[in-house]
Amino acid sequence: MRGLVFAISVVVALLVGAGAGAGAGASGAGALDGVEVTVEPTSAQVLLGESTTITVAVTNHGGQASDDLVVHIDITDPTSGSSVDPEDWTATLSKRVGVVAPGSTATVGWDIQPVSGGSFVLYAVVLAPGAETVSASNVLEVIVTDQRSLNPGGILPAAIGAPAVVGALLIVQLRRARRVPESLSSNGTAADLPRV
Amino acid sequence: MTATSTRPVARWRVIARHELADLWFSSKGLAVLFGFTLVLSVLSYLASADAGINLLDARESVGIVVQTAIGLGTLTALVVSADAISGERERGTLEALLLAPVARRHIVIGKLLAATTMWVASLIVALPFVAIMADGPGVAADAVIVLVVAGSLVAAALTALGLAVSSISLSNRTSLAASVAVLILLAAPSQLPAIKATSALGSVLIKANPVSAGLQLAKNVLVDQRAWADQWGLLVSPIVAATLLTVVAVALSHRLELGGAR
Repeated sequence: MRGLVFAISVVVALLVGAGAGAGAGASGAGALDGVEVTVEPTSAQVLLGESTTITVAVTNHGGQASDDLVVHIDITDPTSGSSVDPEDWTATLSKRVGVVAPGSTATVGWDIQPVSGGSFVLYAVVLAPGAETVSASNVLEVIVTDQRSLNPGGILPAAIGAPAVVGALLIVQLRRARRVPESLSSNGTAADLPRV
Repeated sequence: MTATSTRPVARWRVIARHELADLWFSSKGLAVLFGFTLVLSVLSYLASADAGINLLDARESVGIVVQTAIGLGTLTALVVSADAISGERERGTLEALLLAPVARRHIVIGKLLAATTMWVASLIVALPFVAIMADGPGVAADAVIVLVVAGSLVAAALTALGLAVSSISLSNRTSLAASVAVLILLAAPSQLPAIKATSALGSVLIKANPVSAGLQLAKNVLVDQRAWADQWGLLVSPIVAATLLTVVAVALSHRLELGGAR
């Protein structure tokens, strides 16, 4: 009898342990359950060289406090195959949000400065340690208008003028140098020069 | 009987005048200057465009242009001085020069002065670019002083070096290659990210080297906005190098020979 009770208790303990393990696994996979991440604004028009501020909001709709969360942003150009290096746009791609209480929202701001013209998409993901998935945000469409000036900083007159002046002097000198043998020849003196 | 009083003309002046005419009334000087101007124009335009759209800090763009003007301007003077004696030797015109009643040190001094005008011309071309670009961030006076003082010292040192190398080189190609290689080696420390001016060894390496000291001075004053009072140490090696190398170039004049580079 004692043996039977021991065997049953061992089986029960094993079953409870397995259940707890499965529960823990479910907790890891669902660490971001109820966590929503949004990027604002949803569209932005920026002049090349200027910067704009975006806000990433992380809301915990769940019933318990979130894990220690980290927000990471990425930028891409969905219309072309070429990749965009987001580190050119901002020095920090990831920012720590921390623990978000149930029903509350944490926000982080980013200053981004595009480095080339075009139409880009920016999105954010929120990650938690041990989580098997990420929670992704809506997309922010960033339209960057190229605004290169023809005369940046007033340098154009010097950039054109200086080579033009030196080049003109060089051309005059080369022509003069070419004219000297011609005049010698027309005077008949070049033919008179002794042959070596 | 009429007495004519003739003022003795310093022989180096005659040589300098002859060399200046050869440099500037042939297409050689202007061709080199045109290349310098073209490179500086393109660089200044691109740097201004980047600074204009905030991709590059305005002071940083001024620093880049000043450093390039010093580096390339020095190169133009170096190329001319490196050709000065070995070129004459290769073209077979050194014989006539050595037979002229002119002391050999006067030949070297005259050629040195003529080659220095290449830097002066580069400086004149670079000044408007630097003044326009430095006006925005308000560092025009600093930029001009750095270019004139540091640039002239570095150019003087390298011009004398080129002439010294030229006087002992058998061929013009050797002289040019050796001189340009030395310039690149000397400029490298201030451009390599691994050598930090803030570290003890890096600081010594940069300060002891006249070219990198001059370039570092430009960066410190124009980009990092450091006080001039803390930067005088960077002018020591350019001053010492300019003086020493000029003395060496003139001293080597005693060894000027037709084909016998010693």
